[in-house]
Parts: sequence; C-alpha cells; structure tokens
Amino acid sequence: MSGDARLILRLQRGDLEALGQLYDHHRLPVFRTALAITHDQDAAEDILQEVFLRLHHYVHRVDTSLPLSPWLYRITVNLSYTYVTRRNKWRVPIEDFVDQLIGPAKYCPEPEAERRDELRSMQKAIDMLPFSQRVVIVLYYLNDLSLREISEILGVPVGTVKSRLHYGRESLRRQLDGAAQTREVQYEFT
Amino acid sequence: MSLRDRREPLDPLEIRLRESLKARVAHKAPSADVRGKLIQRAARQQRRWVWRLPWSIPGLFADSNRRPDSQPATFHHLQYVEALFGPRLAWFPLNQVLR
Repeated sequence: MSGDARLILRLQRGDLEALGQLYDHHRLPVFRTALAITHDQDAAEDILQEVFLRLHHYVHRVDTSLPLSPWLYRITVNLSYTYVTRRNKWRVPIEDFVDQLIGPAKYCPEPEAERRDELRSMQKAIDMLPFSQRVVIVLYYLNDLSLREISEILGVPVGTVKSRLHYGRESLRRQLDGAAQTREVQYEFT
Repeated sequence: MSLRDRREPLDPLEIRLRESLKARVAHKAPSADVRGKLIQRAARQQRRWVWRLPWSIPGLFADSNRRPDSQPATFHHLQYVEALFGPRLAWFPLNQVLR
C-alpha cells in the first residue's frame, strides 16, 4: 500500500493530521498547475485550499488502489476553469500593467533582455489560448504528464488531447511569429 | 511502452514554451498560512457532519437502554424527534412513531 493510500485511510477515519501530510506532499504541483493556468497567485492559493477541502469532503469516494495525483489534478483543473471563466475579461494582471508602464525591452536589445522579452511574449500567448488548450499545454509541458494521463485527468479521449496540444502549439507559433515581426519593426525604428 | 516513453524530442518552440511555463512558477510557493487555514476549515467541515443528538435520544429506540421506570422521553425530546422527521411524519401521531 502506498504512503498516500495509508494517509487517505487515516483521513477517512477523521485524522486531520493525515490531511496536513497529504497537503505537504502534493501542495507544490497543485499550486503551480493552478498558478500556470490562472496566472494569479491569490487565486492559485484559493484553488489549492479548495482542492484539499474537497479531498477531505469526498475522501470516502477516493479509490486507494489508484494514485492520488490524477484526482487532485482533475479538481485543480475544474476549479481553475471556474476561476478563469468568472474572472472579469477586462482585468489586466498587475505584472502586465507594470510592463506596459516601464516599456518593453526594445531600447536594449541585448541577448538577455531579448530572451526576457521572448519569455514574456510566450506567457502572454499562453494566456490568450482557449482554456481547453491552455490546460493541456500546462499539464504536458509543465507537469510532464503523458497524453494518456492527461486524457484520464480531463476525461477525454487521447486523440482529443493530441489535437488540443497540436492546435495550441500552432496558435502559439502564429502569435509568436506575429510578435517577433512586430519587435523587428520596433528595433528598426529605434 | 507508455506514451510518455515515446515522446518525440522537443522543437525550439516547445523548449521555449517549457522554459516559459517553468519560469512563471519557479520559486513560487503558497504562503505558509494556507496549511493552517485548510486544517481549520476541514475541522469546521468535520464538526458539521457529526450528529449532535441530545444524550437521551439514542436510548429512545433501544430497548436495552430503556430505564426501568419506562419513561421514554420528555416533551422537548419529542419536539426534537418531530423536527427531525417532521416533513415526512407530520400526519403520524407521535405516540405511534415512538411505539
């Protein structure tokens, strides 16, 4: 029996220390997945807390013969979806607002600044993706999950995961090509 | 062989994509008070599940626990039972419910 399974059995008997230990084991992947999807530290903390409260609430339904991580990821994705769809569309993350105020790195085209600029463009492009594609991208590239694991977490066929991954990548490629062309034009005029 | 094992090597865009995602979450962790709040909320949740019946109610229906003077319950206990089963048994006389 795995360590998680033992802790789940203890939690089923009402031992809250077991919940604390499960939290300690799984908090970082859950938190970082929520953060990568929502791009909001406070929301990621709320989602993290809610995920483990749901684990506590539904612990009698958790199958101890299966690994716990996919269950936690599924709840994380569902709660992130609720957050993203409820968030006001016009709200700009504070980092983006600061970026706009201090201006992009177009006046200092050193390699490091250029790289930072690229990463920022990539992060913006990820945020622009539809939720279904963004989730697959995060689970595949950040959490290193296989297509089969992602399909089990999301409850969709492997083919659907593959196509979401493909269209997500193509969308990012198009957006980044557009951003790179804009940057080149900016460099030419400065 | 699992699908993970058959992953193809990443192209430059995918490498940048992975770097970008990792950079977004690097060195980020939930604040320390989240754990404490979680345990507090879970304890509250747990307390809500516990049935807090008055001491004499469990003994109401068990013959083994019945006192020799066979006085089953006081009036406020009957009110409690009525509140518990009220909507379904409202048309039932209480003495039949407790028989």
